[in-house]
Amino acid sequence: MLSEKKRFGLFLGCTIPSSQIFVEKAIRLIGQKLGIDLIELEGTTCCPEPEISKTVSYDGWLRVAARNLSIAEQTSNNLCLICSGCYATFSRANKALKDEATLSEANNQLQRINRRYNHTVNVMNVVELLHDVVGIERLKSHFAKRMNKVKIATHPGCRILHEKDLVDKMNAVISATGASLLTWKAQEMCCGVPSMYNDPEFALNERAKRKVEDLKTVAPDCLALVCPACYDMLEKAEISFLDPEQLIPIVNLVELVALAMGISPEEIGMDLHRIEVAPLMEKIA
Amino acid sequence: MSESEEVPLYPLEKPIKPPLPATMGGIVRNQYETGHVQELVDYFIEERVRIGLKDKPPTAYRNPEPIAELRKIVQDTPIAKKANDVAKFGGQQVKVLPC
Repeated sequence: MLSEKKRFGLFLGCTIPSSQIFVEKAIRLIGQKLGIDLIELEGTTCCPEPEISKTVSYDGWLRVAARNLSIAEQTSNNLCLICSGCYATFSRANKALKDEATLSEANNQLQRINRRYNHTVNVMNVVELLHDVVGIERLKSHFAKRMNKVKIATHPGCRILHEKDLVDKMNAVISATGASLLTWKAQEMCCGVPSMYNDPEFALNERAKRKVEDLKTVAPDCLALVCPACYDMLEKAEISFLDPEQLIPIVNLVELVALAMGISPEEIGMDLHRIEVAPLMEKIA
Repeated sequence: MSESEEVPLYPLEKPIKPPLPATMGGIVRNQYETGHVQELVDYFIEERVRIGLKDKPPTAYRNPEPIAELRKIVQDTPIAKKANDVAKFGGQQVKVLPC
């Protein structure tokens, strides 16, 4: 639990700082309110993204991940990931680098750029930061807004879904706001992003479209998720496949926590969402 | 470097045979040339400042040195080759523009 200011390297990735900037703003505001030191990691690159890079070259993927981990290690032994894709990369890379021979080979490569990774970084999803490090009770003590009237559907996404405890923790954080959680049939269906590289028709029609059409049947006040790729896909899917009056606001978990803390949507930059969040804000007291 | 034992979560995962699908080429090229999969366009630089963030994060978005380091450590892997092939033979850079 958080007893003193803790330091976490904040890995931003690509999508969030370049287009979903409201997520970056939200986590920074949350960090300030909770007394968490979220440290800038200077000189990082793409994690690298876990689908294409890894299949083009496993070695190249691992070297770039090791480089980013070596940068994180210089600032803190705790690395916070706000992107599910980055979390997938670093958790798998860090696991691979546990092997001495693999780590030694990675460091042989990093030596070319005067870097070294000593495998001391603890890779942490933002869900774990909020649930395990901050803790539910401490979060609740910071919640200034009441969300008892808010009904939330969640989309855990594939990266989180296969770690059941992360899904439970995500749900616990959302429940701590007072909001009620809805279950829906297509909840655990992939949003379709990985399929976009191979078969966009399938991804759009058999995944994204089916998902949002099922979502509208449960009429949530918002859809909560943690993955920026899922956010982008589902937002575009709603705009493409649903009528304007049926659009459901989509919010990242950290935005939801920030709103519950009383931070205004204007301060977070939520006017940049393509689907307006005003209907959700009407339900928050 | 040997491939580490995979979690059996992706049993069908296997290396992609060339040529890279067109949808992937731009991603690989972006990573190699800019250090990130998508560009930080002027619109979002301005919006970052507007909502109280720094104009650019201190990553490869801001400085060229990380890109040079990335290229150095992947230069002998298929990532560099495919990025150069995409640049030579086609495959547009991926831009994310505001709707």
